[in-house]
Amino acid sequence: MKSVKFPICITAGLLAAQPARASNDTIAHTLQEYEVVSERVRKEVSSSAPLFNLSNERMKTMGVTDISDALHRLPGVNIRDYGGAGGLKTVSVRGFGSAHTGVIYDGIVLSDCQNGNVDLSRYSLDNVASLSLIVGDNSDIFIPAKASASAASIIISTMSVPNPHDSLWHFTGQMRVGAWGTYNPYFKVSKTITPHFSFSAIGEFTHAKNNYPFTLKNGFYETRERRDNSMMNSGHAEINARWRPTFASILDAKVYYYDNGRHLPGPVILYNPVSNEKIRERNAFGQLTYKNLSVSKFSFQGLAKFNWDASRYQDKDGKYPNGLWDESYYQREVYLSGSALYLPTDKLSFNYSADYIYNDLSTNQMNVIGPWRHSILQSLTGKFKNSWMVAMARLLYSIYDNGVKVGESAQDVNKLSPSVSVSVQPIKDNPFFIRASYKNIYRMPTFNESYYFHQGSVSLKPEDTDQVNLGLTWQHSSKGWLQTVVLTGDVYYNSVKNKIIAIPLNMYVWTMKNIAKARAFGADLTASATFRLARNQNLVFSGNYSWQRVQPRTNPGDTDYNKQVAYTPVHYGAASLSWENPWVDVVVHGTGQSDRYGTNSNVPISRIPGYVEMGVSLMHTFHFKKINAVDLRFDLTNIFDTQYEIVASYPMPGRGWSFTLTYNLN
Amino acid sequence: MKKFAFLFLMAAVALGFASCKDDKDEPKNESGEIALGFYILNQGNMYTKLPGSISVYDALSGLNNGENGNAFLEVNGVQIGEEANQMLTIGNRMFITVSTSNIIWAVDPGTMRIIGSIRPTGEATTPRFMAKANGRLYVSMYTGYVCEINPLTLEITRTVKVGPNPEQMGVIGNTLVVTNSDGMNYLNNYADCSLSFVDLTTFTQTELKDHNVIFNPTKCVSNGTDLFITCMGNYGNIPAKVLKVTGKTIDDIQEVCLGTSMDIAGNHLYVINNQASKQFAGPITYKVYDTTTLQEKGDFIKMTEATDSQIAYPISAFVNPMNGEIVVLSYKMDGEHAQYTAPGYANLYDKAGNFQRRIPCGVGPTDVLFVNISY
Repeated sequence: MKSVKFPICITAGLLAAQPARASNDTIAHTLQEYEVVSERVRKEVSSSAPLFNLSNERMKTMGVTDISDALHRLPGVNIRDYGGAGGLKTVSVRGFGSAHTGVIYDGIVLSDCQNGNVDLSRYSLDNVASLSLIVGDNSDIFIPAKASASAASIIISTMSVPNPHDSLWHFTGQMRVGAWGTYNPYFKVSKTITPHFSFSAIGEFTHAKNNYPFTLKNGFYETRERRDNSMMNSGHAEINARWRPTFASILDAKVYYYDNGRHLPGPVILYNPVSNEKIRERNAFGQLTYKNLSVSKFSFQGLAKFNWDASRYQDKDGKYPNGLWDESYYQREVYLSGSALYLPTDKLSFNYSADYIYNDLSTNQMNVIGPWRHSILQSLTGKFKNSWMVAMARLLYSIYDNGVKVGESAQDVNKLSPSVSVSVQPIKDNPFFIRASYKNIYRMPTFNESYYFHQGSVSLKPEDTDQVNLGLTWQHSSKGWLQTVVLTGDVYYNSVKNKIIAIPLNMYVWTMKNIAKARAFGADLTASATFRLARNQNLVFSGNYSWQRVQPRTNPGDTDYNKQVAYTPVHYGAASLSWENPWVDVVVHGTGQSDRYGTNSNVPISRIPGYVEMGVSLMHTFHFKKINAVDLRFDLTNIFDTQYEIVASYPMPGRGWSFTLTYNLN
Repeated sequence: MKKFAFLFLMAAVALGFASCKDDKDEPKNESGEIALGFYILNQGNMYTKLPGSISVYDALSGLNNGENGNAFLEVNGVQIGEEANQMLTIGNRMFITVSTSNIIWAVDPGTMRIIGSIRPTGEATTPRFMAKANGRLYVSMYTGYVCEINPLTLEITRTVKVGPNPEQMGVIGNTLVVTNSDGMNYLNNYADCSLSFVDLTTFTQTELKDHNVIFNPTKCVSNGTDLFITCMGNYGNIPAKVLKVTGKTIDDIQEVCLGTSMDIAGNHLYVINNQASKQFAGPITYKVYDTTTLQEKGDFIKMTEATDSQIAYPISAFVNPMNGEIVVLSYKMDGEHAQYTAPGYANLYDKAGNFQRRIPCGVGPTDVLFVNISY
């Protein structure tokens, strides 16, 4: 692997002249991205732990319609999707459980201490520059400690502000109209005011009625119904500002506000279609990121974030006291992090990061009042890199101090979590790699699990996981008709101990315990290829397939022992084929899952049938007078009107459409 | 498979058939009644969306429709709904309350075929449990009401507001006693739980509330003269207990014993004690009491270790008033914990408490209805 590292001071100018690299505009990125490899090997191929990246351009080529669709194009991912624009969407990777998946938004790990899940439906793809999945450790070591504290991470990076030498006004206005009363306007304004200061402002709103029809099966009869009480109004606004005090340092500031009010249709209940549930969620945060990439061997970055989260769930029904059920949760977080990168030689790099996080929660639903948690995470990483090998080792030391204002608090925790990964390029100048990685990591019990009324248990310990991955990757580029091929294949084995599950004391009282065990093994395959049909015409194929066996392994006599964990298909995959041409780009895409069960014991009546869903996208960009561009896009989703469920009793939408018009100035 | 399971169903259609079945092997008592078998109502499991079902046991052949059998679905082609709670026959109709689906089915008890259904609207919805008196059906509605239903026209004739979250009911004389559990108010320690006494003539109620004595009452059985309730406590420091109710004031309530479920037949009360809270956990007991003297008279079933006569996790016992046979519904256990998503079973004992057989049933068995014929 021929690699050339440019001294940082020259990099800014160099990168500005390479527009082909998406979102590289300044020196804001860490060391690894500056390595210009002779064949421009993709990070997914050279990474020592499985890494899958969807850039904004690639998502357009693959006909990705929304974040749920994007996640389906990643291997090893299991999405719980409750249906439609407002449906909750949580992600678990390789059978770990959704609380083990970290979500990183522009460099900072999002937390939800209340239930441990980040609802990914709140992120629209309009301003996303890239969406990545990392299983295990990121080969970029210059990251905060918390970024390595999850078994797997979804990394969302938004588009940057304009680079320092681009002083034009940039404007994007977009309107999307879709089936079932969906209206989604979006705008973005950005400019570099001086070479030292740039900003961008984004606003986005979605109104969706979401009353899609579905087929209801009851015994031997089928009727057509509509999802009722499903409306959503959701919006978010963001302001990003960047100061460049020196050519080697950057200060980024972000202010973000999200507000979502939706009616919840609930599960489909036979003979009783009435639902009065609704939920209002709000999230506001401010974050500052400072990076100093000096010319000497040391670089430093610091992060500070303040986050506020409010969630209010209500249901009207005569059975509740006073006819109303009202659950509210308010969370606050303060997050501070410092990282130092040291490069003693051109082959070695070391990173030390320390994070301090404070979380607290106010709610009316718990055994205690005012639970809080101080977390101190420290990570020490060493990386060795030469022409044919990259090896990395990391140690994460975590301390958690739990407390409550009133009541009994959960236990304090401290843990040492090691991980190693290596990637070898056995044949010189040939981008074929063999990779192996091991990671030991845990996840803390959530506040719900520790304190929820009647169910919570303060003696809960963290869930522990061990994962091993072995993989082969290969990339081939040529000037002929087969332009690029990328193939990756990984096999893995995971085990989860002290798995937290709800145990019934009787029908009405359940309690959380650490007694369960599970293991998972499987294989993830991805393939992408670009065929050059003619000048300006390409055929691009992209596909992923996963085989996953996730088995409960608590006691050999259990009814679920060695069966398949609920909602986890043994096979799943996605593929897209797109024809890029000067007239109209056409993409055909599909995703599918095999049968799943609603129960861990795989009782036959709880079987949820597998499905395949296909869609078509048509796109074209018109240019006017050099500075104006209009994109038109038409999507037909679920073209065969396949009726399916991901979560039992939450039917997914049938055939739908959306039309998007985007105007870009500069 | 269908034919055997409905042997007795077909026979039970008309009383006149019973005289033809004068067989020495049929379970019957001296007055000539025949026990044809029983139905088990399985709730399924709401959280994993396992549907409810009805299991059938045919006493004449000793056969049943197995843990995947569902007589309701097989006969009618539609599911019973979510959270079925109770079966009750009145006249020649059988009613089934299904709470989460907000529906009360009226079916033919012999064939299980649907005759009609009641889907409550307005304020009184979510039917829970039933009682009968004077040819009328009474249904407790979880939103805090009791409805009187004409079993022939399937119309709701009268409605009375009772306490919050009413559950099981029982009749003594001309009074319907309703347990108002206030179950949805657990964050406030069931502060408004009470008993309602509904006069069946005027259909008005008086309420009795005393947190020290009546705490989360949910179950009720009556033989017409003696009425007992079970207060489930708070699954913590307040245990579940059985109380006798003889009048409308607090002095008419008398504690009988600790217990979690009960059934009544003649002047015997059968109590299972399977406490949920750790504080009161102990061996599960199956004791019978005299309904007048409240004296404990011993165990009502005999179990031998490591045989099918053992019960893993009892839900409740049901006594056939005709011949004293006892059915105990149980969940299976996974290690130390009840399996809520796997099929359960029913153990059948004779009136002396001797184990007869184990009958598999569906997920979440909750109620038993005996099909007896008298002539």
